[in-house]
Amino acid sequence: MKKGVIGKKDFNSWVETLKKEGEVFGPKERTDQCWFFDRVNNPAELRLDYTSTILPPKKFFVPPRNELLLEFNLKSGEGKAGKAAPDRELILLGIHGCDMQGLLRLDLCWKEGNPDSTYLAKRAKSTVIGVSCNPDEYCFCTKVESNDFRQGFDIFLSDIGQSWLAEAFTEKGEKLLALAKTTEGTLLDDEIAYKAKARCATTKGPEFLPKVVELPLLCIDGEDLPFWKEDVGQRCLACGTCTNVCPTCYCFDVEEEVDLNLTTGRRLRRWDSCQLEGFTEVAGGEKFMRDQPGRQKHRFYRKFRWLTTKYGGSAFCVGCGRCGRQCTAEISIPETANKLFLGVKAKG
Amino acid sequence: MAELAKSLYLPKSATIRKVIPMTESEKFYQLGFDDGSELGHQPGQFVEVSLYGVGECPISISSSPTAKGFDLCVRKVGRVTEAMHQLKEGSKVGIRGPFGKGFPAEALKGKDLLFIGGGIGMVPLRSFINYSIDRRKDYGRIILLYGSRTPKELFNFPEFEDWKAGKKDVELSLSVDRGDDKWKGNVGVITTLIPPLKLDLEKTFAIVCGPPIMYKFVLLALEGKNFKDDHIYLSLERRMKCGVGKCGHCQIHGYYCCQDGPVFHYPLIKNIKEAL
Amino acid sequence: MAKPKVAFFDFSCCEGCQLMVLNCEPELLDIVGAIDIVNFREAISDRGEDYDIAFIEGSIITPHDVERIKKIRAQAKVLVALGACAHTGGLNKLRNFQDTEEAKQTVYGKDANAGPFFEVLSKVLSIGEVVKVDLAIPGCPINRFEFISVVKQVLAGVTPTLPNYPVCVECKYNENECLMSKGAICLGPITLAGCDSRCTNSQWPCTGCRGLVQNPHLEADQITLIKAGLTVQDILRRYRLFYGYSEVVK
Repeated sequence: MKKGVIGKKDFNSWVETLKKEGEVFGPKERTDQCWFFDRVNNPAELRLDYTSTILPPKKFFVPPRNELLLEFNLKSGEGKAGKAAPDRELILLGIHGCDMQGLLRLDLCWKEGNPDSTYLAKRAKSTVIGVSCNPDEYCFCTKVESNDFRQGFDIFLSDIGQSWLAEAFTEKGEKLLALAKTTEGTLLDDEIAYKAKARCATTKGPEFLPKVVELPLLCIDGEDLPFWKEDVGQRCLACGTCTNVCPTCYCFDVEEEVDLNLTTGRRLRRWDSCQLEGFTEVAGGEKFMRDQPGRQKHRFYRKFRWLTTKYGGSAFCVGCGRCGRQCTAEISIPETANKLFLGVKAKG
Repeated sequence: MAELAKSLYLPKSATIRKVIPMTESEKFYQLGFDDGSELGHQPGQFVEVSLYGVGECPISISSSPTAKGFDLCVRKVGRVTEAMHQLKEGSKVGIRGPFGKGFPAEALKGKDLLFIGGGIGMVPLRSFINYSIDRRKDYGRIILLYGSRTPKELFNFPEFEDWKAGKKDVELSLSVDRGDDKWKGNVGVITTLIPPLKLDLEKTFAIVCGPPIMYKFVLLALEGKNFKDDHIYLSLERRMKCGVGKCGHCQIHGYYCCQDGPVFHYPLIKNIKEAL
Repeated sequence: MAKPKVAFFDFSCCEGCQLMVLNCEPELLDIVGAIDIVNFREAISDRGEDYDIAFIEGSIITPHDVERIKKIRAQAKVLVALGACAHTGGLNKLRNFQDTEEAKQTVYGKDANAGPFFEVLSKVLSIGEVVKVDLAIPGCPINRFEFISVVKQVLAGVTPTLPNYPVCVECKYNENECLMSKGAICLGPITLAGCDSRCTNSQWPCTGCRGLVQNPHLEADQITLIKAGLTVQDILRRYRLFYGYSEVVK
């Protein structure tokens, strides 16, 4: 690992250098307190003190819609796969620990069984530079053990006041860090950096009663608890926001598009959501997930039971808080987890 | 990662060699890959049929891997299948697959096979029935209970007359929910065919495929017959959009129907409410 | 294959949907190249009565309208309802919640019954309530990209499908912050998508112009709207703006 301290006044010129190495994307402010990841044209636009973005970084690897899977020609009947990898390196600058964990979960799923080359090629051509967080009352990464500031990152930046402490964990990261004007950090810098990283743990987030390792078992015992139907399932608007903004949700649908020449066209991928009425509907009209309590349970169980046990233990919720922050009906993972925990406890 | 250029979602071109109308809404297709390769499937697996400009949908493979080419039987029920019904002999379609877990043809060697098919559920069963006929020495009795709503809706597969005539050693019982003037056979739901069966329960395995509503009643009837749970295999329908365990639509709890199914050993899904 | 003959007809409406068709500037030449437009009052003066595909804009409000749409239906092989007024009755359906006479007086004053022109049906009807509609392009006005997509699919002989999910899905694709969280009243969660959330993209709440999504979660929606400070009457008033066709506002 290589380390260095980048003065904040030198930081922007480093970002300018990064732009020569690849396409740089980072957090920007859209409206007051509303952030989103976008192309960094000018380093001054960066808001590395952001809390959370509307959409997680998954959008860079599987865009919300119109992702080219295939191109076809109706006259010749031929199809060919869309180009998987971008020409230039994708440099994501300013990614929080929870979102990195989200990407690592997605890596597992897209690699498993039949690897999705479209996703994996984009991931392979990406560099991720993390940044210490500025959590709010919705964040709960520590509760689901997703506050990791090393795993998956090429570089991690910790806010140490007038400077950034940069740690490079990979060869790619070391190469990029070498482009920055750095000074050697002190032991004190490390300690201040640790304090910045620990903000996730020291900021008061939502109450989260169960331990994350208990959740798969609570899911099994709490399948028939009435709150699924009477509370969460009843309040849910079935709008799909929670899954769209989730860093680990990756269900998708595929659509066709034919050009006006009626000859050329393409097959496109877009995000789908298990919360939507038509998600499990087959031709003929049968729906295998029939009601909203079932759909809400499906989402929660996928995060904390099915994928968790399938992939060896890590929850598929990384505690970024987006679903709760953006749910109009104010349904959140901690709330559901607590109801499950208390419900199962009361059952004895 | 450049070696990953091969897309999971790119179909392989196949040509429709023959179209046989089955019923008002179902057609039977014989296909073959244009590059001369074989599908190499297991009985009970499915493919994604792709029509460029329209879309893709999962279709059960109806032929035995012992035959050349492959057969699909398609019910006109959605956009893709409606478009497929317009296609003639010589038309090209895209095929991805075979996908999923089929019937446990190896594990069932030496056993008596009790096939229970309702309506279009007959399509994947035909694959295993023909396979067991072609490997006749490997299997014991081949019993087929096949039901549909009306006599007109029974599939007239090319070998069906042989089965009816008892030529292929298939013990066939038919039933329809509603008969017509010509129908002289059983009238009633398919479960009515189960109680009279004389079976060696230790040796018999049930293989069930039909519309969602059918499973519950068939399972009750098999239970009434003292059938053991682990002697039952079910082929389920779900929205298997991608076929490769990614898109999420076919998930049944921790299982992906397109990967862990569509054929499930009954004990695996018995306690999953949403499965059946 | 001969180019299909296409006609546009308008009934009670603002003709804004036809303007949206004309707004397809980058694609307009390609569209005109692929079809033969024989009747389009907003764009051409020639009239033809021989057509295969009829795009119908507006609602049915007079006995004369009923006769006219039936004739069009008899001629057209494919009849497409263009925009909310044709598809669901749209805003025009607001009149169904008032006394017809009162409504006439409000709009036309003392001339309300001046001639046969004002002879209206007791209820405003969508096109589908009078004749069979093959396809609908919802919205007030329509989304031109959806129009183009439907045209392409009709030409290709494929049955076009509408999204069956709510506006929130597209609103999130467009990475908007939820307007409800900022105190606005937005009908996005129960309104059919396909508009590319164009209103909320501009910080303007959804008023429901595309009609209700299939099986809307009304109870949940009402819980959130009441929390946002609306009364049951307020909610009904907002729902009636574009959901007047539906049982939910009765």
